[in-house]
Formats: sequence, C-alpha cells, structure tokens
Amino acid sequence: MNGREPGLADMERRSQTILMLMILVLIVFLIQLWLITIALEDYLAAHHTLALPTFLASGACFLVNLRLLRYLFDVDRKKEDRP
Amino acid sequence: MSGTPKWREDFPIRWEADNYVTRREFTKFLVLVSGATFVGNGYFVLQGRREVEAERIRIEVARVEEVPVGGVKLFRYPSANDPAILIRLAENEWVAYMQRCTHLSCPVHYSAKSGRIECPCHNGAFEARTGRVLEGPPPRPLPRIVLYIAEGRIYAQGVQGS
Repeated sequence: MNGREPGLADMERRSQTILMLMILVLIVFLIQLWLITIALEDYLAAHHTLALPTFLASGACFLVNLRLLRYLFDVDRKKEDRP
Repeated sequence: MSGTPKWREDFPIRWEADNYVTRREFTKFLVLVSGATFVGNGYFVLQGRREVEAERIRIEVARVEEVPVGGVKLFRYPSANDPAILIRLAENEWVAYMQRCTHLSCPVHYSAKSGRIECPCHNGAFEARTGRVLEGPPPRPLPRIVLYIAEGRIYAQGVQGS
C-alpha cells in the first residue's frame, strides 16, 4: 500500500487533462491576441481591410475555445456521475 | 441536520483537488477573456464601417484665396473630433492630412521654412508633400485627406490610409 486515498490517481489524471485543456485554450487565446493586434494596427493606419477577416478568425478561435470548455464540463460531469 | 462539519463549508475543496479546481477555474476565465477579445475585435469592424460611411461626406474646407502659398488652414474631418490640416505648398499644390501624429496623437504643425510637418512632442517629422515619416518615433505616415478643388473652393472627400 502506498497510503494514497482512493480516487487520488483519478484526480491526478483529471488534473492532467485540465492542464492540457488549459494549454490548448491559452494557445488559441494567444492567436486571438495576435489577431486583435493586427486589427488595431490596421485601424490606426486608417485602413479597413483587415478588420472583418480578423474578426471572423477571432470568432472561429472563440468557438474552438467554447468547444474545449464544453469538454471541460464533460470531464466535470463524469466526475459527478461516478459513484 | 447533515453530517458535514461546519468547517467544511468554509473549505469545500480537498487539497488533492486543489490543482484540478484552480486549473479548471483559470481555463473558464481564459474562455471568458477569449470571448471579450472576440467582441473587442468586432469594435474595429464597427468603427471601420462608421469611418467608411463618414468618408463619403464631402465638406468644404476653404476658398483658394483664403490660404496663401506656404500657409495652412485647420479644419475638422471626417467628424468634429478629427483635427486636420490643409497646406498650400505652391500656387496650385494643396495637401491635407489628419493632424494627429501617428506616434501618440499630438497635433502636428507645418513648418514652411523646412517644408516638413513636425510634431513638437517627440520631435517626429513628416514630409509635407507625401506625409511619409522623415525622422522621430512615428511608426506610420500621416493619413492623407483626399482633396477636390472646383470653382475656387477646396473640398475634403475621404481619407487615404498610410
């Protein structure tokens, strides 16, 4: 026996899953930051060509993040369902 | 009465779950910020549309005889919050620019002696003929205002990006 409580290994595994999700969300968010920087630069230069493409790309990134969030809720739900 | 001790209400998370809960909450927060960034990006779309609409407006800036060669006239374009400068470089040569420095938005002024548009805040300078940066910290040329001259009157009709 290693003295660990039951479920501790499961908790660690879920922590790893959440860590992976967090890194993915962070990467997508950094892409969004890059996009908004481009949009700002374009706006300050009195151009209006990149605002819409960056807005759409940022929306796609947000949708990806929402999907990842849903997966996070699924991980939570599995924990609650466990007897 | 439940069997849960009172202190558990103040400390509802087991230490083993600490990493899990903090990472989960941070991820949720990141998604929220991601949504805010998306909305922020939408602001530039709306602002761009508004400016494109405003630039369709043609306004009279000055009469030709009003500004001597080497002289300037300040005006507002495309909205009342946007200072602009009209410069008469030669008898038949006119240029107009947004009057905000592209560095930190200080008002720029024209120096007829040097033929440059100068920013007094950080010693930035632009070429009066083209608006391109000559020296100093400005990252971009001055946005140029398109002029239309008819019957001795000068009109502004749009802004050209740098």
